[in-house]
Amino acid sequence: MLAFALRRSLLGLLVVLLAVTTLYCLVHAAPGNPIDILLGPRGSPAMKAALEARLGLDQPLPVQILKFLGSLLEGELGIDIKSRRPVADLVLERLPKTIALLIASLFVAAAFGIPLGCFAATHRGSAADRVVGVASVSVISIPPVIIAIYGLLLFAAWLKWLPAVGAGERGDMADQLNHLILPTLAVALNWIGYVARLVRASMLEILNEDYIRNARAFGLGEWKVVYRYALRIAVSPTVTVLGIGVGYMLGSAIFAEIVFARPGIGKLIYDALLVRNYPVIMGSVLASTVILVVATTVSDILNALIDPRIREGQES
Amino acid sequence: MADGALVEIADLTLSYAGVPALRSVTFDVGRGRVTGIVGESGSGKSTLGAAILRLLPPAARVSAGRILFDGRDLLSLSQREMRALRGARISFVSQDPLRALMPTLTIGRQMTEIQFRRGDGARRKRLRAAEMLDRVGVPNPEQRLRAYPHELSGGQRQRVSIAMAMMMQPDLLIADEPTTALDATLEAQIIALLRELQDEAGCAMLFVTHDLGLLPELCDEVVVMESGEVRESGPVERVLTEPVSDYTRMLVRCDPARVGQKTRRLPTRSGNPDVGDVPWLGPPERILRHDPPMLVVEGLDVTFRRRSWLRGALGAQSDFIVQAVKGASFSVAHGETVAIVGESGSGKTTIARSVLALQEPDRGSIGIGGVEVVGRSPRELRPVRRRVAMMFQDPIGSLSPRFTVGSLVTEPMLIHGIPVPDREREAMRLLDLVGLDARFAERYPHELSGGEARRVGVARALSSSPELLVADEPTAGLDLSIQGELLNLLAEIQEQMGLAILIITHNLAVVRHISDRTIVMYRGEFVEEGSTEALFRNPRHEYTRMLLSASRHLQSAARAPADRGNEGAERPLPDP
Amino acid sequence: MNATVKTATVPAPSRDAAWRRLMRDPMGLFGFVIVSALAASALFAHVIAPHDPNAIDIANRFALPSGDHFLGTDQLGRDVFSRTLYGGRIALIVALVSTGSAAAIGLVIGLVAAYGPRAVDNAIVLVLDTMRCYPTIIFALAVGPLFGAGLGTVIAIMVVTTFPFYGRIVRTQTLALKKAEFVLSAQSSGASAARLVFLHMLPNIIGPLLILASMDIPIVIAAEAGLSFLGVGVKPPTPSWGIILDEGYRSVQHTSWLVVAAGIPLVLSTLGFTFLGEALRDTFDPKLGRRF
Repeated sequence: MLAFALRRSLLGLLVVLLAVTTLYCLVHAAPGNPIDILLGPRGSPAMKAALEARLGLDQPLPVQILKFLGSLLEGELGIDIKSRRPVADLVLERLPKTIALLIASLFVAAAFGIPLGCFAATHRGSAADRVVGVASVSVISIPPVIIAIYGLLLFAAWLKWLPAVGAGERGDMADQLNHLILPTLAVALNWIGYVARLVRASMLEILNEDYIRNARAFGLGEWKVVYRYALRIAVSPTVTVLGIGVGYMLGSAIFAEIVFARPGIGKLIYDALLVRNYPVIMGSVLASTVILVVATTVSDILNALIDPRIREGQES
Repeated sequence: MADGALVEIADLTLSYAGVPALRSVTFDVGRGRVTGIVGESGSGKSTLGAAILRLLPPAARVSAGRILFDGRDLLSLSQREMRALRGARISFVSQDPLRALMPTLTIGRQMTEIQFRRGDGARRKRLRAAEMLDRVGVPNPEQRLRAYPHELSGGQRQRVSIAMAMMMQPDLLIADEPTTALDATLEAQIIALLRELQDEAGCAMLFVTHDLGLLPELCDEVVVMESGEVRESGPVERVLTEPVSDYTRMLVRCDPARVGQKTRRLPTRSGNPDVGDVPWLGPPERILRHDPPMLVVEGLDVTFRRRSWLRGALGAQSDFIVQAVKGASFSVAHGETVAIVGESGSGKTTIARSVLALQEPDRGSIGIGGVEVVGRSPRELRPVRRRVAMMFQDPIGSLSPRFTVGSLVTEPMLIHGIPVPDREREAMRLLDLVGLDARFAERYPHELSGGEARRVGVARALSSSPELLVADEPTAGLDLSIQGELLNLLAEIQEQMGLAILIITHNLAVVRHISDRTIVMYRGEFVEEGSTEALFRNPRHEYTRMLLSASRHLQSAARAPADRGNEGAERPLPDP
Repeated sequence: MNATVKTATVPAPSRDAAWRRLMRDPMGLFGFVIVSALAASALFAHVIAPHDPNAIDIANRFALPSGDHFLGTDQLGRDVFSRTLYGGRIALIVALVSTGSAAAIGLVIGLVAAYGPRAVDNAIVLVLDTMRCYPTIIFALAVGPLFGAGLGTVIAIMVVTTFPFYGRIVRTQTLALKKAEFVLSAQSSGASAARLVFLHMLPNIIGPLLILASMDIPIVIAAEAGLSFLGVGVKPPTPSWGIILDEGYRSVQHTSWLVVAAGIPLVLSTLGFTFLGEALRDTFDPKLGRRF
């Protein structure tokens, strides 16, 4: 098990390196390079050269990449051109807000999606199953930005049940949680539907397996057969999907953070974007890539814990 | 309470989503008796077992009848009452050992959890599990308890399933084709084990099977089923020797293992007057031993390796190499039928695929009509491939799903540029050759039955007028009655066209009748080769003897209890 | 040409029946109606629209729905209903062009990976797996501004972030089909590589791929709106749904009606496409999962 986790983490590291390098190349090979965007139309060639030299962009690309990766290893993400603060500080400051939102969303997606899917599968063909089916398909692809805006209008502006903006008072746990509800809804709603569909489908498949019928044939209780035996296996694809889904949730989190003015990574990127602050954009995007790779790695390791066959590299 | 049968099924009628599955089924299972239920696919035999346990799929509806178990009607019990019987008085062994056990829990955990009704401590339960594993012949029981199912072989997993079922000391054991997925040598061991355990425990057993050969081994009574109805029931010996119903008679007649003398034609559903009348008289004239032979294979070595550079680079387990075929050499003469016999994983299919150049060998040569195949480019191979045709294992899966039968059977002609004035008429001719109606030309593979798809496969194979036909498990998945028809068709075509045939199979009963020479393969090596008659009469290698006895003693009508001995225990296989 | 080629491209035999089943499924029917209505309104936007979508009428800004302006007017007095109709065009163009090209690129790359030499396969898999690390929105934020806002950029971003999924699926499917007995059977009877790929394998890959692509369309529509909302998508004043939403959101202090109206077509069309996609999947290929 440990060997598997180690192997998987190494692979994750490799993918981060590759992703980061590719992104760096892509950004610097693009027609409008960051310097032009930064300086705007009035930048003189001299200013451009000076800035390039300062950022080390006048060196050959491989050297730039190596330097860039080297500085990453030291936890350096560059210097914010506007505020002159290290980008790493900015990112680290905002990161906890985004991670809290992601974890809350993962939790909500699982906590609502799994029981709903399970219920639908065990009541296959019933009216309740059909209701869950239509409801979960309906919420799967509503754009998160719409959920955020409608949620803001309905629950914050009109009903005044929940706070509209910010992340809550520092140190006030209840207030922070209160501020988390609407953004989480915006990020997680698609996923509740998706997880419910997925769990229903895999439950139906597993409940048809011989080993489940055999467990029943030994007189084991229905509750145990369904929830302890079948669900444990049926949840495995959901873990994988949620791992990959963190990437999409990060995208949705940007909208939620903008609409609810929540100071997370997404808001950081958006604000930087408005003034074309490229080091900040790159730094935040890198941080998001790392989050995503960590999430997929963790989900793979979780799956290996659930199913011993995966540990040994057998396809499940 | 103690008198009367343990299970009395009366007038049971059941349907799946409106389609009848059982019609007025009536029979008894006596206390301590073994009742066999035999039938071909779709006969409803497995539904019966599930009905007794009340573990039918939700679409099933019982419209009439009773299932009395020890005097109580199971159909009127509540789910709770029913659950109290399951695993306590009735246990169950299912068909596919690879799917029977929870993949995510250790064997020990599963074996202790099913003892939830017993008040003992965990240690006592575990000890009992280990004892039971030992009893069914699983070596190192203590260690096996810590293993996950996927770490055990198929045969061992089936032993674990049986151990779990018998550990509950049931009054009734329902075994649904428990040996169908196993090789012949394992099958014999498992049957012996079941008989032994049943003797010891004195429980009743309902043994569901498609294989008539297993009945006398194990059963006291037998119930013959066809399309949801009981055709006949009674003591095994009487039913097998003096069947009353036409259907049973047909089943008994069609079993190639019951045709005593080697014969070229097998009996079929519609009967076959030639059976037994055409004895086997030495090598027939159709075999032409001129040089070069149709197929010459020399020193063939094939290994499989799985290499993932990424995993390798990250220190995952290194390459995994399996030597599938080791130094195989053999030949097939023009017009001759050669069979390669072996159990699963013996490498026999790999040989077939190498002959067709679908698998690159590591070493060795393969000559087809004097032309070397190994190392040739697809373009160079094309003229050779016209002379060889292959039938694959899965009758339906080997037909391209979006082609009609008509275009499938004529495709090889198109590939080889054989001039055909009228493709439609050519398709009709080929279909007619294999005994299929012209209407089949418009059908798609998924609209065919297994037997029909097999015939289409034969028609397609014949389309390029090959000289060698390689058939990989041609009888797999076919009911006995259809098996005979297919093999007779192959024999007929061979006589008409002078085909050489290489048959790859595990089915000894069939091999004995249809092949001229037989090669026995074990763990990638040829252990014995010779004329089929000689090999069956006088096997020299220990493994051949084991294979033969495994299938032969399943035919003997009765056996003395003395030689039951410890046959159930895991027996080491000989080295090749 | 000949019967083989003809039958290979002929639809599966049960397609008529499947179509009828699809139309009997209420969700499928609902999806079909919405999608047809959307397609028709986008196609005939210039006929249906009561006003020029870009005609400014400051005097009449933030008007509530009326007989003249079904969905009211925006902060510049433009007719929201007309803008929404034209926005449907943008949404459909982006959705169809980008899913279509992504699926096509994925198809080619997946086939090359599955059929090419080991090294090529490994390289492609590595690239695809790396590309999958960039979620659409994040990637768009990093790269979009460099290329400048516009329809082309949006489509390019969509294609780059979605084709790896198709590539992966096609590769897996092709590898499985390569070992399928019917393909081996054709190979053993001497069929050329082109025949194997185009007649025996492709028809069995394209069906599932099309269904997956149809299920991706609502995701792409949502992403386009999101990108335009963030200002890295279509350039204003082009009437994209994302732009209308952004403008509505900016003027939410004046009226909340605008942002609500801008959301309606988005919600309806994603619902319609999802329902239709799910129904298509259930009818033709119930074993198929979603793309991730």
